[in-house]
Amino acid sequence: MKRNRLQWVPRASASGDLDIALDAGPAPTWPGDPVLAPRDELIFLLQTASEIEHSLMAQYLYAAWSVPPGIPQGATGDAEWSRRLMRVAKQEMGHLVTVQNVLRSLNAPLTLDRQDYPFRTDLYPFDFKLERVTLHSLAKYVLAEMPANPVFPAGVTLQEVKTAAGMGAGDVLINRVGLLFEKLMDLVGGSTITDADFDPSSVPKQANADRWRADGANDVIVLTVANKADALLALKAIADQGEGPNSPAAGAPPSHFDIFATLFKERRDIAADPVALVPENPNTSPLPGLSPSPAPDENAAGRILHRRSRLWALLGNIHYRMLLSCIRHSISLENDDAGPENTVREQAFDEMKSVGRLGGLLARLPLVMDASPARAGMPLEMPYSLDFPDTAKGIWLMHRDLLMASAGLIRQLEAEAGLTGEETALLAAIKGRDAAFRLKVDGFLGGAPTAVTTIHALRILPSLAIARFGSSPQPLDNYELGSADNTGWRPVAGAETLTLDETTGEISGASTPAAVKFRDALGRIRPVCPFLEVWAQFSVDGPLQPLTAAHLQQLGLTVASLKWRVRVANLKAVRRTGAAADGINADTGDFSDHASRALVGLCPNFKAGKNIPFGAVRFVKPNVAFPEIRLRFTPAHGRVFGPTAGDPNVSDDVYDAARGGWDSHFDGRAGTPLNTEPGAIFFGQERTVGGSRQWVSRAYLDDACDGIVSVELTLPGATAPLRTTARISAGPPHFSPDTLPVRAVADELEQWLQGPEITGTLSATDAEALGQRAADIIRRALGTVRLMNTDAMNVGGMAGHDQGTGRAGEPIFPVARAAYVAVEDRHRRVLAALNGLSAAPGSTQRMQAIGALQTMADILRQFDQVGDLTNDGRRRMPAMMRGADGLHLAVTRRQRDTIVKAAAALSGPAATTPEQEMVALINLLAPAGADRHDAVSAGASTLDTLFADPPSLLAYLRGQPVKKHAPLAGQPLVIAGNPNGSAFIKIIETPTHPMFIRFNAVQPSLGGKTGAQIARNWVASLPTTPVV
Amino acid sequence: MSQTTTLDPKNTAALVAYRGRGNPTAAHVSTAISNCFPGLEFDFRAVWKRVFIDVELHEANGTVVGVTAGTAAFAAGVRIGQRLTSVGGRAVRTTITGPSAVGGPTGNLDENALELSNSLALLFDKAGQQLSCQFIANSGALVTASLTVRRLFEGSGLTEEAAVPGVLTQGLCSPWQNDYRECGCYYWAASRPDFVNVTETGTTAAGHNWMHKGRTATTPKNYVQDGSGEPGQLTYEDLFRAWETELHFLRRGQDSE
Repeated sequence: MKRNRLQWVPRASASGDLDIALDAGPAPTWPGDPVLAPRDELIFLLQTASEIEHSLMAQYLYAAWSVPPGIPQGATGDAEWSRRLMRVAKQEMGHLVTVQNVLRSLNAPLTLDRQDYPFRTDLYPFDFKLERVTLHSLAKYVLAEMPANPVFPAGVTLQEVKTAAGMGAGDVLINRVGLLFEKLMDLVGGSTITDADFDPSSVPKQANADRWRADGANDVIVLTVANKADALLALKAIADQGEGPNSPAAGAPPSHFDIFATLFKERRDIAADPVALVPENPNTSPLPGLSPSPAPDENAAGRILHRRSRLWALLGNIHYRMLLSCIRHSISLENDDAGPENTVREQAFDEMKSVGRLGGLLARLPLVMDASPARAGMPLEMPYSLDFPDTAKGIWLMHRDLLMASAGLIRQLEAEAGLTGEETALLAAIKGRDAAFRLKVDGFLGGAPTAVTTIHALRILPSLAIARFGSSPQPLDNYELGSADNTGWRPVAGAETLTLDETTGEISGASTPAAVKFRDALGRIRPVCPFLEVWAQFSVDGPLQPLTAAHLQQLGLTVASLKWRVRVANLKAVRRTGAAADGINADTGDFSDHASRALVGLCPNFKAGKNIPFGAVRFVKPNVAFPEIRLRFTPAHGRVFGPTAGDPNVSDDVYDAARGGWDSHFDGRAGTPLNTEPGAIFFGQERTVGGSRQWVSRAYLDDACDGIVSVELTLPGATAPLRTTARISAGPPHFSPDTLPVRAVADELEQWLQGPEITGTLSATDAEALGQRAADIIRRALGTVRLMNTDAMNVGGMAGHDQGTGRAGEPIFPVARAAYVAVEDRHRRVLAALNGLSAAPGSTQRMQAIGALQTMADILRQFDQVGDLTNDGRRRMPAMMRGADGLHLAVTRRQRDTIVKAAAALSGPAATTPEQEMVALINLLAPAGADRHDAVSAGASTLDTLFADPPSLLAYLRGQPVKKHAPLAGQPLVIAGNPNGSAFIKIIETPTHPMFIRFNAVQPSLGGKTGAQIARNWVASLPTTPVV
Repeated sequence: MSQTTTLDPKNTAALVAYRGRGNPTAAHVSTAISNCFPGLEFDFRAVWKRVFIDVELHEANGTVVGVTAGTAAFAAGVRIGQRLTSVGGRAVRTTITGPSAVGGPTGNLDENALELSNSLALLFDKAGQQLSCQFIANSGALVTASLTVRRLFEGSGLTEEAAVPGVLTQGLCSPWQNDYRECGCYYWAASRPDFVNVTETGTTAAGHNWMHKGRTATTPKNYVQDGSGEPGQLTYEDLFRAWETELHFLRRGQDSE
């Protein structure tokens, strides 16, 4: 039983366009309408809007699937019809979710209902009909999304569109959706709806842009609603994007009307029909005769009769229902990061992928069994009910029921002969997603986890773990680094620490230390002893999950079925001498028990019975509370070893100089490998060898090492084991734990795994995230530089190192410029400016943050500029530091590209007027110049303050005379329209003035102009007579 | 850090970021120096030594240190001692330019290998593919060979064939304590700080050298650059014998113990 609905009554407007009775004007009365209070009426209209958004989304999706890629001929990317249609469909999804937020804020029922066929009502802009892209269907969409004062593409007229939509026949009703939104905005904006009608505490239960991946790539809108103003904003945003009464502002992304009107024109102008022959309203209804069917058989034309297509269509319906269920479930829960809301929201995105691929496939599969060219199409049939269980358990059981139905259809499809590669791949992908979701659903149901049936792959994570020396028997507690504050330091906070019981080999508990102590009570350094976890992929394309003892049990295995092996080595002497017998190797051999295994470093050139202990590894025994499979690496103490007994520097005399040559090695010795760079980095002493002075090794060694951890598991019936590896290393402690290196091994890994450039289109969310990553790189630079004595490094360090190439010896920077206080202050101000990345879009604070990124992008050293030892080259960032090639340090190409692309992606449209360019220049120069500007008085303020408010700075320039620059003192800074006569221009073009360098540097982010050119253009553009 | 329940195996960024339950930040690769010259935790340059199958390069300068006889590379004339100059037409060496006299004109001073990690970064997705590589012999003769890019990474980790145990640390100082003195490596500030306990007065900063032996809060802040024989600074012997008590952890740049 459907609820009562208000009637939309078509009537002719003055313009001849169709209109609806909800239009502005005297309050209409509709015979038989229920009397609704304002809030109730608002809910009714929102529910109607929601249904319309859902209906439009389904129809646009179907239209998108009907168009093969590359249409129109030769099109790629956003030029493709299918892409443009899909873009609109995704935006309708955003509208749908946002309308739910308004309903949620009103404490009103949510709805994911939609119009269905057979038709139930005439409330909608047009009858719901899934259909391929035709001139007729596009005409309907154009009219539905049309603004009040439409501007059609050249060569297209309103009448032509109306005719194509069948308006002349008078049997199709087209109502502009914009009118519904006008009514909604009137209602919300009026006095009968107040802030009291909205519930701000509902916001945590609302969908938000971040969690719903509402990004710039498709301009998807998801807005939360806490009050009346938010509701108005949300409705206006939806209206403006799609069905709004006004055309969007120039430069804004195209509205739905614009997109459809352009598609209409392109479709009209193409002679051949490139669209797949999918039917109207495809369906999986039973054949008449098999069950009662309405007469006439309105489902006949779209009925999918091809067996395999029908199975796929049924699978499509199930996943469409799963998508709706996940969305509905998610927006009924409070947002969380790892709980049920996160699970079903993430699953909704997985279901979008499944539905999307199923829709594409079905547009290529046959409709009937004969050789007809007719294709099947995705039915998108509504489930028998959208009613939602009112208990959490009931909802999870519903998810499980749907997964079981999906699994049954997948099994039937897998049994079909002759599946194509596309079909097989899609089945595997959906199966993987289903399996992962099933595990979680079962977890929320609280029963025994679904039995795993196989393991596709194993991984050890982290794949590269660093242990750090210390002689304390107590491992270092876990700790996290918080976000750096304006000073750049990162707070160190205790984090979940697992306690390994040395007696049982089990984790005995987890706790969070109130304070992180790097030494024990006896002053010994607590070693970093990383855990390495085994993760498993239980299906092809499925996610990785921590492997547990229960999983092994379900596979008929035990934890003892896992076979570990750890091999580590110290090859420092080998690297110099080239003698394999100088290698120190430790190998545990295979093990499956939980005893601690010492890593005993053995070396052929050691004295009899001697070794270097590299620490130990232990396969942690899983228990009920900590069932995961993990191994712990405990490093050595960080001791020194040598060849001579009694040497107070060494903890043991292990090296046998009678066997090996490490004690007589010097770089360049005949028969040894090419030197390390830098060379001679071993403890030694100068001696005369063969008539020349050499740095000769004293055969010292340490207990550092690196190596490979492997684990193997042979599944029942398998002939070969699954195998995976990870790397471990042991090195010195991280003595400044609240500082991170500007260029870390993580950066190397990221570059090699993802490439040296940030590629692809960045959504708004992506750009924000990239901006934060870029800021983090700069924070790391500050952390590094503040622990360097920049005054000393400026004259020594790299400045001295450069002389080795034949370069003249001189400081890198003018001495005052490299003074520690100045450098630290400059970096800190840039960092403070970067906090503006979180400020409101368009705000000066945010623009200056982006300016700081742009400045950094401009002055970063590129990887192939490391040999530029000119003063300009040496002053690029990071300055006064050495790279792995011995030249000036460049960050990784990907790090640099992160900053470059973040600056570009966040900077928005390019400035177009001279004044806009001047403001952009101010924002660019402000952060980097702040340390000098705050000492310059400007009127009642300082130049620094004026830089924070660009219009004020421009007004100051226009209205004030020169004060400090003696040769021009008293002259007006700016004479409108006269750059050559303006003192400001003269000053910035004076080579000896401090502003000269910055104003005469090319600004790549400002069209390659210099600041001086921009300033000149601005002064020239100023009106010479007062503006009235 | 609470237990993460799933990870997408294709999301390599998430895999690299994963630290492991209970592991402190210092166990993660974001805390390890990579501008290794030679480095403290790794000499990560060694990863690229075996980037090409059948040819082994010097970790720092791209010189061929091994070539397998009987292979196409060998047949093409690649030999030990030659230097890699370009890969796929892109230069992997650079000219060093600058003035040889203060204020003098800029000229060519020398030439040097670029860091392999940056100069070869475009090979990240070329595993198994062949690329034209050019080498130069000491005689100046050029040799061109088509080399196959080795699969160095799988998932987020190094493959076994990328490096045998010990290679990632083999280029580091022996013993590592020896590298804490006189190296000019003060820029590894995160792991090996230099200028600590800094206080600023106007435009002047004063602080201790981290190598300053036995300093306390009242020790005058007279920074002296780390140098052999500097009185009052830790000696090599101090570091060999007692680094664990002589070196101090910092918080906010100040001695924290």
